[in-house]
Amino acid sequence: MSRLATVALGVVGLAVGVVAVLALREATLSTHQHNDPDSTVGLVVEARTEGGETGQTLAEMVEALLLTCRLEVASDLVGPIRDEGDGRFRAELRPALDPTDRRQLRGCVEDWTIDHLRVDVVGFAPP
Amino acid sequence: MKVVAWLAGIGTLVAALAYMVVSLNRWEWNRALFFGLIVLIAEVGLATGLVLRRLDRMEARRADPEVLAAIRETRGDGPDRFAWLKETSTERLSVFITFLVGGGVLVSALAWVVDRVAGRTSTPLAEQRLAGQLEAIRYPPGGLVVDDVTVLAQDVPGADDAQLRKLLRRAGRT
Repeated sequence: MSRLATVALGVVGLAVGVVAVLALREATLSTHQHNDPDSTVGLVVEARTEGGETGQTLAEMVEALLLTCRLEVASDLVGPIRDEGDGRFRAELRPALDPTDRRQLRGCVEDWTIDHLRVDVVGFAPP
Repeated sequence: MKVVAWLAGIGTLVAALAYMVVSLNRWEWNRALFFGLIVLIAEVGLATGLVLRRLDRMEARRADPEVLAAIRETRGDGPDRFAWLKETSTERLSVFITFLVGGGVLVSALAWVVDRVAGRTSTPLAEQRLAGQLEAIRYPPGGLVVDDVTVLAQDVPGADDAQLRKLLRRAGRT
């Protein structure tokens, strides 16, 4: 292969690499925005448990999970977590979450954080 | 079969790697750790398989086919470990029967000796211990308190109750 072709291929490869890194940064780099300290956001989750310890209710496990995961973001729980039945729970967080915070919180809540508990985030709703 | 194993290993590695990257993207750390562990296990398994395959090829190359064939042709039958059981000669008895019967006699003799010794030493001690344990349930030295009805019952004509007489003798009322 001629020297010119080699150099051309090298330049193309470099350009592809740079574009790939920039795209990856765009998709994964967390960027936080300032939120009004008094703003709130509602979090709705669906939870289910199987084979858990006796004496531990689903509500307790969900509360433990949300109290742990709220440490991933800069928000705190406001008021008690409401049990809406059928394994659905609603919690309120203050201040509201930016998109990065929402992704982080969703990831923590849906992760395998607590044994025998599976939680899916239904969505973020107005309080 | 080997192809299936290789495909399974590579598939596991690729799938676990994909899930790991997806979990990292979603900020699901525990899942990412778990899938990362699967990637590591699959990687070590595949690497070991590759190394062993290379070693097999090297050994196969070294072996001269003619020599290998000659060795295989002259391979004798394996030793028959139980040939002595199949002997039909009547000039000597099978050692199996001897050991079996003789061993049984020895074990029986030993058991008899142990039984005799145990009987002479443990039985008197056990009797003494039992007598001590029965102390708690025996009649009191003065006997039971017997009511007048029971006492008078022995004087009824035709009444012959050995147990009653025993009871009364112990109570000192005859």
